Amino acid sequence: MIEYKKFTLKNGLTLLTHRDSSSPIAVINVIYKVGARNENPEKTGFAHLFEHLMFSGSKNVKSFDGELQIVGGENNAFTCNDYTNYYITLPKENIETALWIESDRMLHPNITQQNLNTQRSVVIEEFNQRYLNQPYGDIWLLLRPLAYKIHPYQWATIGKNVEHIQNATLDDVKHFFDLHYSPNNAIISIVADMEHEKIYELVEKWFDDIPCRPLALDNLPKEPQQTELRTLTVERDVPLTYIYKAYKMCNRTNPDYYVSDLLTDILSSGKSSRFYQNLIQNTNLFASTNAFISGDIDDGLLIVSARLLPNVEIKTAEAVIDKEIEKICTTKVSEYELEKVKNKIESAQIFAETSIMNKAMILCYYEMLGNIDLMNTELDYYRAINTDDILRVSKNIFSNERCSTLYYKNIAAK
Amino acid sequence: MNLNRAIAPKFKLPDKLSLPAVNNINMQNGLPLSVINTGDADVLRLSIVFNAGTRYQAQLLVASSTINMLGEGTEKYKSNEIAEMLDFYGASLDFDIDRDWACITFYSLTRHFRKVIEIAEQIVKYPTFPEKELDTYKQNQKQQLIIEREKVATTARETFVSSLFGKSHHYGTFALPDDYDKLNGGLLKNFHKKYYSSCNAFVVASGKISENEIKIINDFFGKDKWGNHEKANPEQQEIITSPEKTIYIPKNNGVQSAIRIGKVLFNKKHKDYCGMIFFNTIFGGYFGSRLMKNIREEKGYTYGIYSNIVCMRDSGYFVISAEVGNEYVKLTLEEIKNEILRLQQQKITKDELSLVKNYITGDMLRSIDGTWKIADMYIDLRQMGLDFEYIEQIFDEILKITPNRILELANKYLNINTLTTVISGRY
Repeated sequence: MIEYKKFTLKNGLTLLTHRDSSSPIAVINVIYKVGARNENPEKTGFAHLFEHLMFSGSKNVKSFDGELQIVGGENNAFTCNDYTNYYITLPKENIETALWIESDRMLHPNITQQNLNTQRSVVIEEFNQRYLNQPYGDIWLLLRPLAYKIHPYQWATIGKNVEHIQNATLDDVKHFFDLHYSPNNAIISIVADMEHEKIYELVEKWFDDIPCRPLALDNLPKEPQQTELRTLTVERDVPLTYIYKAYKMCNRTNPDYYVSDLLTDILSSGKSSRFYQNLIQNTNLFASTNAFISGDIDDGLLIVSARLLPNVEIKTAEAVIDKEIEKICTTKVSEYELEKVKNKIESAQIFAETSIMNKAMILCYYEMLGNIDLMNTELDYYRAINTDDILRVSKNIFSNERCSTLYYKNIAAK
Repeated sequence: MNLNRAIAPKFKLPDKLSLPAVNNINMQNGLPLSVINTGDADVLRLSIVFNAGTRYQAQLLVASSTINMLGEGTEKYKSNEIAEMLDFYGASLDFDIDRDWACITFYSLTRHFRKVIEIAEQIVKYPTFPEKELDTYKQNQKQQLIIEREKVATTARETFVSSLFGKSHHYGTFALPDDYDKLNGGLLKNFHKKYYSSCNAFVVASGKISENEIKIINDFFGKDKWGNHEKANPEQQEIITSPEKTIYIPKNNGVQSAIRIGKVLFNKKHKDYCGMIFFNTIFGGYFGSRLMKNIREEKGYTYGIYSNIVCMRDSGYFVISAEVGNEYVKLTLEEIKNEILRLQQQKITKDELSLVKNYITGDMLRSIDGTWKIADMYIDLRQMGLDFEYIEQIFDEILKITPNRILELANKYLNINTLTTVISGRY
């Protein structure tokens, strides 16, 4: 249970505060409601590239990192398909420094050609390090365009290719800022050992004069219903073959989202899960298996993946996976099994709330979803799910007509 | 409102760290229990740390496989029963092993602690290492290692550490995938028997802990002596650094190369440790470091470049690490050298000195933020026979460091000719 207060500034900026008296550290978390989903299909990777540029200083803060470090602070950020998240941790006495620099870069970041040149190069190295120079690094670059044909989830946050990053111009990034980085498109959460009203006063002091701007329209194309099995086979110089089966599932606010989450937990969470017990322990086919949901805001994916042991035929392995999937679509799970995964969800939530950083991110995330109280009531949704729900949603999701399968073969595979 | 954004807000930094009290208890059988009562969520964790790291094994992979297989079957429970129970209670289990120590951590909701510790007792004291589960483990770990070794970062790191300590030194050995084939249950049983005992361990409990939980821990682990009655004796081996100062491992199909540069140094107990931590922070230890500023933020050669001081029980090493575009390898090596020379020739400014002091202060506060981080730090200290007092000393020492001291340390320890360079990739 996270107790909080919510404030809205007159420029539309949302503030959420939570008091935690156990830590000498404060967390300031900022979400901008912009991610790779908001990019032009011809200019992908922008939200992420822009996140890098947000660290290049602003009109009054020449060195963003330097000003934070001198007050004992540290910061970082990440970009995902749905949003961009910036966070700062520092000694709670110095919270105002964080507000000074966050507000200054919301007002006027220092976007110059030189900064752009450097960060383009850094991001290309990131592309190389994380996606191209790692075994299996390009799986999502292949899977996304297979599963999505219209919706911008068809590209990863790093972008479709290195060329999109290379071709980014100063005008492009400035335009991106104007469209998305306004106070009315942002949410701030602050977790600190400090009075809610005191925090509000400080936030108002630093953010109140930032003008709001008209927001870009968020009318993304809806992905049409998939009606055919899609497959893609690639060969790579990797030790083992991977199978990725991506099934279409509902969006984040649909009640079946929670059912899908429990469903994947039954299949693969922990060593007592069905995949571990039936596929890893009882066959000699798999080096690892997994089932998880992508967690996207719009219609997402439920992914089943498996890494095959050497010399295992893809067909054989896939038939065994399909059989396991068929079982959950035709036979109700036991009450015990359902209870177990619910307990795990509850425990995970209690453990997550032991970290001030997690709490700050949870606050912003649920506010962005449009219903912050969900963070405290979601467990009730999970608790209410019954074995019929699991059966119904399993049948609904696991259909070949809504599956995109990637066969990522090692060169020697049969 | 008259807000002048050009002026930075006032700030202050604490001149003392506030560390939680540790309740040290010697249980009946002599096993030390340290209780750190922090946090208000109804959760706790129990860590048992054994002198059972890889240095004690006679055959590669025996130590890590022993700890990783502990939960795969015990005298009372089968592997799947253990998994079922832990999952049902929302508990989790972490195994951690390094060169010197092996640590088992149980995370539990306070209300289920008694049930979880009953399983914990089985796992720690009575594992059976069943062959079927071991076969699965060997097979899957072997494949995982094959994948790891495809990465330039892995080959660079292994080659680097081996060349610093010597390929046969217990700090310099690395397993190959085929070493998994040589394992059997008997080897693991013997290793467990010899090293997993109440006289070769210490226990750290943290989270929300009352007298009741302390009693439970005592009931399950603190009464009679369990396991071998002999304490492990860490053998001292001679470090033989390879005379080869530049090692290149060609790997032709990648777009990036991994670089590792460094030398054997020392651990927390050395008188220059604190000073070197400071030096390291300036040089490559944080996002605003010299290396990051120059090689990432100005030149864009890499996504990240860091330096680090790695501590073991009886030694330590200094390492610079980065993955860079193949075309930038030579330029990066040149810039690393320049940055070392700069710190050897020019005193750092007062501004940079105070910035780094403040950054480290904040970093120390962050490292004790939260129940689990505090416990981790305590375990780390305890392994070296230290306690939180040491952190307070370091904190005081950091505040007193001068530019002259940094200059002195840069010259004393970072002589370019003493560094080993490993490059894995293509350049």
